[in-house]
Amino acid sequence: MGDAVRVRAVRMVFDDVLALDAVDLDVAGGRVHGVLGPNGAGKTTLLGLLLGLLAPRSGSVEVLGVPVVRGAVLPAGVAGFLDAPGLYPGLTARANLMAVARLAGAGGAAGSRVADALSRVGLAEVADDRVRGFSLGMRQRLGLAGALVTEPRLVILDEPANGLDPQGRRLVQAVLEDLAADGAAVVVSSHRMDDLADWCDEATVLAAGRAVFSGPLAKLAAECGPLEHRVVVAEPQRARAIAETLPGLTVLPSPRTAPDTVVVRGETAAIEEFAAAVVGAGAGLRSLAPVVSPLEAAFVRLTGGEEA
Amino acid sequence: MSAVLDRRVEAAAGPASWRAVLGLEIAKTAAQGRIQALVALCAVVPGVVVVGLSLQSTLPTDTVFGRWIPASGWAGALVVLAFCGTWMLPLLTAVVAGDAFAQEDRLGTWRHLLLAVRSRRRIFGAKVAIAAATLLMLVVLIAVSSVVGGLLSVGPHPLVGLDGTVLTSHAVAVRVLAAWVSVLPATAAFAAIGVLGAVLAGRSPLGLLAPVVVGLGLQLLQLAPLPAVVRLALPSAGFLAWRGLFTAPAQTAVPIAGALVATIWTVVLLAIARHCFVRTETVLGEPVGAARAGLVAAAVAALVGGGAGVLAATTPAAGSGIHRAPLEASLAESFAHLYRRQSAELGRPDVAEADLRARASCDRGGPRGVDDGPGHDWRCVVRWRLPGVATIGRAIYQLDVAPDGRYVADGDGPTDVNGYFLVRTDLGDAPNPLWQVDGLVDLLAAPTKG
Repeated sequence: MGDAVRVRAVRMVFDDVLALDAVDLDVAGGRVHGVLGPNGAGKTTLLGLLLGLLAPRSGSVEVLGVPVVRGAVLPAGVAGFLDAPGLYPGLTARANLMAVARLAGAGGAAGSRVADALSRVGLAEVADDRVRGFSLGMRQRLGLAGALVTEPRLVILDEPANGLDPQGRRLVQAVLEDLAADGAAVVVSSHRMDDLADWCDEATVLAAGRAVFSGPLAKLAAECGPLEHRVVVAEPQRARAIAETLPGLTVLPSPRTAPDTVVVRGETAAIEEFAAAVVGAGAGLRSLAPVVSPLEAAFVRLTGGEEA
Repeated sequence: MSAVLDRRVEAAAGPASWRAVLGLEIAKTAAQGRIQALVALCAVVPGVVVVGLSLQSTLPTDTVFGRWIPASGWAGALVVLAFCGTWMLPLLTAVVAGDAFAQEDRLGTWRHLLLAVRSRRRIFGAKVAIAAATLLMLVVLIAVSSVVGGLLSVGPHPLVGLDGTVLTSHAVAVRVLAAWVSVLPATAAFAAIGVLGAVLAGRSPLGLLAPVVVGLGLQLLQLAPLPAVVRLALPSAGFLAWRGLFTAPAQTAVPIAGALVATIWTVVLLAIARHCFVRTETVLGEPVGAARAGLVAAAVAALVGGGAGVLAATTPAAGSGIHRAPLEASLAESFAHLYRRQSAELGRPDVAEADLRARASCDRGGPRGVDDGPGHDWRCVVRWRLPGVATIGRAIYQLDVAPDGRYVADGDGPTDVNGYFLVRTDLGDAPNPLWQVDGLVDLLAAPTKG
């Protein structure tokens, strides 16, 4: 399947502030691509380019094969939102979606598309309520439905799980999977690594306007380096002594509130060797888990320790 | 990027249909609580006000046609028009039109709209069209409400015009309709000011206040003693020009000039607003910038200067437009018409206006004053002669002449002609038509008469 998004060497500067620098991005149809980065890394600017709300100062952006240039408009088939869904509070949920569907040229099919989208995001029962009374989570769902009614070939979503409960997150995942299964390319940003791990096939990590990683999530996880693990044992003094003797393992201070926990940092092989040694020594291994997920560790490492 | 390439890319991309874009704008506008409230207010309040005024013993004589509210049901609609044209319509128009754009900024929906419509030109066109339709609806509601209120409370009686002629009910109805239609170009011009303010400044304090401040400023300028051609080159002139329709023959030069000027302002300001809107990269409310501010300032200067220049070159207007000779002619004509009306009320023999040979002699500010320009210190003496009577009648009036050409002549004696508010008729007391006289000087007329 051809690339729905093709970004090459894009550079964006706003009032002497570098927002994007030499960024490349390719997203094929049928793929869900995550965009990650700390605050100010350039995520919103990149998504704005893909939505045609900005034009690149240098470099090139192509969306569904059409170049994004100043004064031009995007081709039909691009949907999504930036920051938050654009909704008119005085209109009902159905009226908001009907407008979007008609603007997308749905014509006589608008009604059935809207009913289907409302059902898919779980808002069928409040379809004729004004959006003014909707919660943040309901607005997010309605924004997602707005993307669905256009039958898009490219969907750009900025923090679609913002304000959603776990059930809502699962719903987003289901919708994204359906879109990808239908052949649409999806570009999604989120500050929650677990969401991206659930939703995405691949990701691009931005830091200070530069793409520091782009590729499959499995490859991103491999970038995590030595991981910190919490090891809960029956005899922490003994386990700590074992850890100090093993090469490739660093013993870190234990949490004050968890005296039975030993925190160590090392590559996967060293961690496995340590676990085996603890078991062999009869120190009572009760649990072993990474302090942060490999994806999060990779993110922190690639972006210089900043939060997403 | 060139305009040609812009159009080619847009055509290839296929923006949303006009029907869909207009449909969205209609739905949004109809769902707005403030628009619903305005519709209700415009449909009810003018009629209630007119009915209330018709029941009062104290009349709004400082408003044109205010003194005739109890006499003709058509007067109420004109009093409402005068009030609306002075303050209400300019402000209402600028705010309603500006809000069509500013609401997207307020709701944070610009990005959504731009993405869904895929054409800034269509967004702009649809917003302007629906704002214009909304304003037209509000103006029609105000007009209909005030007319209905007047006709229900007083009835469709003839009305005394601004030169003293009595206009039949049918003639007044036509003129009232024409008067309300004549303010539409000025309404459009103020709507364009609102749109331009919103496009340049979004929902920032500047964007919200600028149209209101500009509207108030333009209205205040109408009160200032400006040269007539400059006054008529302002878009606000169109809100006052309708008064010329209530003379016989109608003073059509000022209403036509007002409509043309307002139309040109509308076209130029909307063109600038459209240019800025299409060229804005992301959303509204970006800094206005020196280039855009300069463009607007240059356009306004060109509109005022160019308009005044064209009017000066194509009309005989000079100075303030208020000169002694036209004022004397206007007062003498009004007096003659109203004298005939007074004669009818008092049961005196009818006398034609031409047979009265009424002449006015006016002076401003005493012997050392210049007999020219607006002011409340005009003093006129009207002389007339009844056929077959050797004595020359003489009545004195103190005139308050407004910069827009409208004047009120207040009777200053003799008491049996213009000294009392009421006259005693066979049917009881009736308003004395010669006590106070409303009149209008044609600002575009030649300084000398004849």
